[in-house]
Amino acid sequence: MTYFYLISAIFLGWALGANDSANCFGTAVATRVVRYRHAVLLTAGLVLAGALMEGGAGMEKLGSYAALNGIVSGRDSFLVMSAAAITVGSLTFLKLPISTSQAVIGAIIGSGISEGRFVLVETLPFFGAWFATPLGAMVIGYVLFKFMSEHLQKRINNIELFDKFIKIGFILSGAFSAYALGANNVANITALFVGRIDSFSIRQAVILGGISIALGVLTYSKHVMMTVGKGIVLLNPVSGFVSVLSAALVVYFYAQVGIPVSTSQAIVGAVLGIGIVKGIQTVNVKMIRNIVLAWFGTPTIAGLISFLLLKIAG
Amino acid sequence: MVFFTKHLKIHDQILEHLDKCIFCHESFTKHVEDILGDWDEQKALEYVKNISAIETEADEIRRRIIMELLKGNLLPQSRLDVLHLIEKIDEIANESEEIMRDVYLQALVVEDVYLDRLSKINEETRTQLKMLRLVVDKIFSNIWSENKKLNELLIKVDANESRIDIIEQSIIKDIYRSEISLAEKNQLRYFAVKFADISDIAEDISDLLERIMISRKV
Repeated sequence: MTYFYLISAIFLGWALGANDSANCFGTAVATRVVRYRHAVLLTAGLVLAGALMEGGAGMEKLGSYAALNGIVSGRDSFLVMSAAAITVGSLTFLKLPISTSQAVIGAIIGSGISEGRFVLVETLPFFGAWFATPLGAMVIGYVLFKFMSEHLQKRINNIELFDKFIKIGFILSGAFSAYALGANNVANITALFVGRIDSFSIRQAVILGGISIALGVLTYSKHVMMTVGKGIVLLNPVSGFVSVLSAALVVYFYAQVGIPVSTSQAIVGAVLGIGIVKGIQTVNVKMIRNIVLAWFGTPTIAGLISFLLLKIAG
Repeated sequence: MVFFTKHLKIHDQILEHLDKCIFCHESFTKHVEDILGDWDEQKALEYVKNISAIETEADEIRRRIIMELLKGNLLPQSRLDVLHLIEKIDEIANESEEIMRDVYLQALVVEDVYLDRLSKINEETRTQLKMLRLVVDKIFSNIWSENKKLNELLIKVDANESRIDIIEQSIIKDIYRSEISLAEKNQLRYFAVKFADISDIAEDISDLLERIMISRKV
């Protein structure tokens, strides 16, 4: 019976896979550098690999943080994850900006407040990571793109070689991004259930989390991939893979730290960094507004739903 | 080694196609200058056949390039650029063939007073095409190291086109002030415009190459 609780995690994993895989190969697919079929197969495989190989750090960190906020049973985890899933599902349905990581943290905070065990100090690193993600990606995007624009042109003069370089760049950065997504975000999906339902281990958690994200990638990512891919302002092909690579580096860094972060916000930061090199406006006000809305709106809504669910469930 | 042989395929084929189209134009100018002052029906027909054969060969190379593009080695944007470029280059051969055929069908005879200026248009166009060949070669093999030189060449191509426009207008002006019949005036005007059209194609190719260079700037 307790394994039924995992249904909320599986749904959240599926939604994350459907939404966030666009950040790995969206630009490559939208610009037809990589075929959609190849992109989803690569993403699904590498998300799973990232989760299995390096998803453990996030599991432990998020699991401990949830415990500090009073989430100790499978039932608590189910309610908190249901709150996060409802938030992600409804905001996606309403086409509003959403970050799964921020929904999960918001739901945990809601539970902590409901139980009277909210821990502010332990929450600060998560808040810090939300701000540092787009900023870090912006700095990396700036440095990488500046390096490319100054050195790449001098070294690759032949158009056909240049195209090959871009193609390989898109595939490698997309693959790395998918791996980082799995390593970083799998904790969002199943970390709260580790040790809280019958013999559910970290190993089982990364496998189930990875598979549910991969399932979302394989079954429902096409529409989002095309929308996100075309939505990201592409100055030229190089900026496409540099933005993905910069975001992936930040997401991967936070996978090592054990804090799940938003890949979408990292991409926006990277595109902004590239824009600074080019001396033009690459991110519109709407994209900035979306990040700010996600920073404050998502955790607030998830926290409220979680608070209410726990109160109702007693 | 195989990798490097493969990567030069498109570059070599585009140059082969351009060379064929330039050859088609050169043959056309030689034939037309030979026939206009001294009409010979049989010779004119031979020339039409010759130009038509060269144009067919250019078409075959263009189709080979399209097959190469379908293999998907280049990025979609580059494929589109190459496709637009070869289509435009092909127009040089098409136009040369069309004018040669019209010259034959209409048994065109041009008075000496216009011949020099028509030859001048052809000569300026030849110079344009030679400059374009240099730019096309470098754009696909050495785009950034000779960026400045390529820009200068493209500016020269445009300048040639302006000079050709002036010559074309002077011919048309003189045609309509001459004593020949209106039908003859219109016929001569048609050919003056057609001769100058090839330089307009060269200018279009120059614009395309400029766009390719700008869009590829990192």
